[in-house]
Amino acid sequence: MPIIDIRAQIGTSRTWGAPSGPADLLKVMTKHNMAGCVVSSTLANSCDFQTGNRRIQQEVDKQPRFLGCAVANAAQTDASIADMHKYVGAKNFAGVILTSGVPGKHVRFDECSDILNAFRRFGKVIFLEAQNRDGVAAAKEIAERFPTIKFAMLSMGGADWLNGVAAAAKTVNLYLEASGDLNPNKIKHAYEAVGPNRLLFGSNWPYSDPALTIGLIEDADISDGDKKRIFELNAIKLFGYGKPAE
Amino acid sequence: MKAQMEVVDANTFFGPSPSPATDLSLELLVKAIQNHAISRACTLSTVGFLHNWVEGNAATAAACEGKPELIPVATIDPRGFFPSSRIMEALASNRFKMVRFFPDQQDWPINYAPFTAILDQLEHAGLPVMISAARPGQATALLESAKGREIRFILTGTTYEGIAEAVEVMRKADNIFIETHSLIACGAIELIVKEVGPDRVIFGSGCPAASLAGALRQMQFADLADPDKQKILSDNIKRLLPSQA
Repeated sequence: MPIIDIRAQIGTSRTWGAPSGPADLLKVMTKHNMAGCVVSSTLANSCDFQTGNRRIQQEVDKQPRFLGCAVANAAQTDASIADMHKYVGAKNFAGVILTSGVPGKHVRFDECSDILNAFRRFGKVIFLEAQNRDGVAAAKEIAERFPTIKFAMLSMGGADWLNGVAAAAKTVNLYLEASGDLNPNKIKHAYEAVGPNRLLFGSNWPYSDPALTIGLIEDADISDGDKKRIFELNAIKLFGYGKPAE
Repeated sequence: MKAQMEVVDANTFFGPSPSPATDLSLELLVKAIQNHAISRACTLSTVGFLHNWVEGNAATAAACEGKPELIPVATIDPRGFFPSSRIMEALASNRFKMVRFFPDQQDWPINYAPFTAILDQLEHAGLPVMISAARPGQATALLESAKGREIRFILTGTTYEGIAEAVEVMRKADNIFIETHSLIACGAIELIVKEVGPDRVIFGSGCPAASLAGALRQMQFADLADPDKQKILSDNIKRLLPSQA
């Protein structure tokens, strides 16, 4: 079954010894029949969003199977808005990962409203990290306050995926990206709560092997048609990615 | 991966869980093992590490009775261990095949006198010891405990941030092994095989708390030769378990 991965990062990383450059990602994509991948920069996610965003633009301009994802830092609003204007309007950019600027800390509505107001014009997707209950609550509030923007909650809320699913069930512009916790009940539970159309395959490569989340979804007690939605069709619809494979 | 490679899962458990998200029933575990053609699975009751190790071990022994696909694993909580505890009799009578420790969940350091005392009692039992070593420094502390012992130790819970420490510890002590369920970073298993070889890497899934299908797929697609995959999937753990396992 063809797959589009909506979450991967390129660049040097803390996955010591496991290569994580664009060629390495392409090799993994070929191995797992991935037609496309939304990529951000490891450096942008880590400590230098401006240099990282510039690098990602260079990579996606060379590789049609990649869609770029810029990173915005809520602690640097003006520079983040400037970067959004530089990159996000391009056809080969999917949206923005919104970070707080503090490692491990989720972004709050009061920190990012200016950035989101500037983002609205692009009609693309905002990706939000939410690794615990507070992060899920913050993501839900942000999505509710900006109902015309589509948001993807990365890792469905991490270990707190039950709360992430509950939040998405009440918030129709909040999508759930499947990487993170490998609880075998997760996908079926999310499917029953929000339906198949707001679930998206993401691997969080290189920090996680795509095989793990692929296996998780393939093993879920849902139809093959709904698995195809999660693996491919929902991403195509959300990001305008080419055409579905036959 | 060659079709129908034998798989022995070194890391499963069953029992109650405080988290509503997780069904850890024995039925679910047995069903997962059957659905994925797992030959055998090392398992223990969560009661042993969440509540009381004596009660947990009794639950493990009872659950494994009459189920040859399940390999009973004992646990001991050093915080409740006394020299009079007579663990060796308990391990032998219930035919446990491995002993597992949970310093992270139970919040004790590996350089801990009761733990050392338990190891002294286990020294000639011929049972492998699995121990969680997810935090920096824990594998290093275990190295000191492992030196000069016959016991074979299996590190579990190692993530990509702990690989360098695990590799160094395994280089220095050939009685230290590593289990795969937390090695989720892309290429992590291959890296460990490159650094220390395939003979001390042991497949584990964390089922049913974590997806067995995902763990098997990770091995299926790993950039490793089939003979090395077979070692990891079953040969290595079978070498460690008592011959009557």
